[in-house]
Amino acid sequence: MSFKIKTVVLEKGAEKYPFAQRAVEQLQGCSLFRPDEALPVQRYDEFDQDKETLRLLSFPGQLLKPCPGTREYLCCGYQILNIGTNCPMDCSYCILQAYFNQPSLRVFVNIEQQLEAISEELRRSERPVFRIGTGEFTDSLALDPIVKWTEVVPSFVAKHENTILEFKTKTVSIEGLLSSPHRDRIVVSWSLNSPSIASGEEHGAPSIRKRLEAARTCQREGYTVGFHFDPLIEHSCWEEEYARTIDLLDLFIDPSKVIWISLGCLRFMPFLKRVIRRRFPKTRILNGEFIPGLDGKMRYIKSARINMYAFMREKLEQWGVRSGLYLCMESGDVWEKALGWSPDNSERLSDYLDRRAVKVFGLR
Amino acid sequence: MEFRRGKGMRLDIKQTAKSPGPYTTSFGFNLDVLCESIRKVGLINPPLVARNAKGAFDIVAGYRRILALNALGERETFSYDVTASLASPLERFLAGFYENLATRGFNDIEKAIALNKLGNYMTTEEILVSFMPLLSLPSHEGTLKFYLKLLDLEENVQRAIGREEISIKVAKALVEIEKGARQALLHWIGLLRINFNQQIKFIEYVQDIGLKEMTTIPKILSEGSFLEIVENPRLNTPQKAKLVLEMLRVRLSPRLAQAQQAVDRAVSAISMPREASIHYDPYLEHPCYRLDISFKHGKDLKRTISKLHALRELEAIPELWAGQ
Repeated sequence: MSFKIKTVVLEKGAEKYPFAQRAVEQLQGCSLFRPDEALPVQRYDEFDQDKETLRLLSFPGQLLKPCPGTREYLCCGYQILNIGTNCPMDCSYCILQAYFNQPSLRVFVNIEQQLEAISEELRRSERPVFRIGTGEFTDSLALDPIVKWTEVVPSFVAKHENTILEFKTKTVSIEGLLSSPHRDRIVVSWSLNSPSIASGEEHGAPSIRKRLEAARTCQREGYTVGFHFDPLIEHSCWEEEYARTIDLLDLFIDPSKVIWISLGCLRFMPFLKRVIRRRFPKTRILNGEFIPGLDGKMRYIKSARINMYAFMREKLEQWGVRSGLYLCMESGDVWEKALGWSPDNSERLSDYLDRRAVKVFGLR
Repeated sequence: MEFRRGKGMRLDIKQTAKSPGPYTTSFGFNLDVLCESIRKVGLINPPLVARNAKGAFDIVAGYRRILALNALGERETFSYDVTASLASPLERFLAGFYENLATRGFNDIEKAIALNKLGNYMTTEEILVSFMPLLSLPSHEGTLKFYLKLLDLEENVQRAIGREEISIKVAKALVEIEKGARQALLHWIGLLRINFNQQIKFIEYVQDIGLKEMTTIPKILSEGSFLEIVENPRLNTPQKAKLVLEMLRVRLSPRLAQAQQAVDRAVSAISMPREASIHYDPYLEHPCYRLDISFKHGKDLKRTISKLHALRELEAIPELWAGQ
């Protein structure tokens, strides 16, 4: 996969990190701006994402933070390892378009030093399981051929027996994973959608078939895989369309070895609607019946969400999924009606997924 | 910049009133008050003018005063010639700009005109840093671009913005819409005389329906069902506006509307005690109903609870989204 990075900006303080130097070596053909070099004045349109510039910077704050779930809906208790922000792909529904007020792809090059500090935190913690993911503010693997996260993060996980790390991606950039010796307690998960949403709305992302081929390779290579149908989108013939994706799953993946599958219907901050309309005027994703949810985000009316989740549950169970199916940011009554049970609160949902991880990885 | 008034002179009003010239920013104003003031006490503050390359006078400050005098039938007025004291076009523009800023402020179209004219004399950076805050605007390039786009709008739209008949938020939506659709929306906003919040809702509903049904905004707004509402003599304007907005909402969100109606019907059929009322989330997202009871003391509360306890109809309240 080739993304069009044209400019690399090494920000002040980043140059001393080996991680940054390795990334710069990988981007030989790009214009490189070092901290003492003045950048040409860049004027961005209000909605410009500037996906052609990669900024390498040292992140001053904490890289590991709990997922910012809301009180009103059940959250899985995930820990986010913030390795970078923004993404080279350009999905029309992407929340990152309105989440950060800074454009450009940004990678935090002090990750190795930060991981040392996180190690201390993990050692001190009494939590039985740490579920950590890197795919919240960027795609976990899209920039891996350049920045080589897979050379750094899995070896960190190997040192902590209570830690599970999930790489969440839409890409087929698995070369780094395949050459990594550390595969225990690593989950590689793919974000899936219907084939028509993938081709029409997930600009720059590989097809569902290609994603599942990559997932099959990882599964055969001993990785534990997961899937995320998020965002589920109501679109023309959505039942047939999502069933096609599940048929493809059946073709490539052994369901008994899938750790978890999450479902989440499209939701977005109200401001994102204007961004989407401007950046993707032909998109059909805003055609559903949306309401302001209890957390202030726009989401489908409850009956539509229940209907979609129940449909997906039925199809996934028919495929062979027996455990690990969960809803992302939903209310207890929706869980009950769509999946037939509810964890009732976020702590219990977190416990459910922790137990799933303990079982799959044989943790003590 | 030190300002010197220049020399006094008699100015030919008819000739000067023909064009606002390069330095003025006035737009969408009403001359009535100014005319009344001049009629009563005369012209207090004489206009400033400067000679241009063709030898005629351009107005530096006081365009509205000259128009008012013209409307009152005056032929000449006392004014100051600042050709020498304000030698450069920028100085002349700034003299008018700061005078307006200090005395009356700008409407949004006037802000756009001022920003556009400033662009003739200085860099975008200077405008952002030094002038946007003076106009109570954020020093943000996106905002500057948006204001400049207002000048491409049709005059009737600009007039509506200048007179604050539509909000700047509505203007933001309108600049992104093609001309035919914009005109249709503006026509309906005027027809229904809806407030700013309703205007935003109205535009959003019609736009969403257009995209969903793959039709155009003018086509939607020329449908008979909407025209019938507007032509209904038994409805007043607020009632018409409410009905149109509701029709659009139901069309955009039919399943929610149906579920809301079912809940509304079930709840309104219950003869609740006067002291108690049942409420629910209008979007039916919160799974629970809420019961409100007002009471003066404990005995009062117990009485209302007893009444509620005896009310068999309560059992008929359905679960939200039941049967949908």
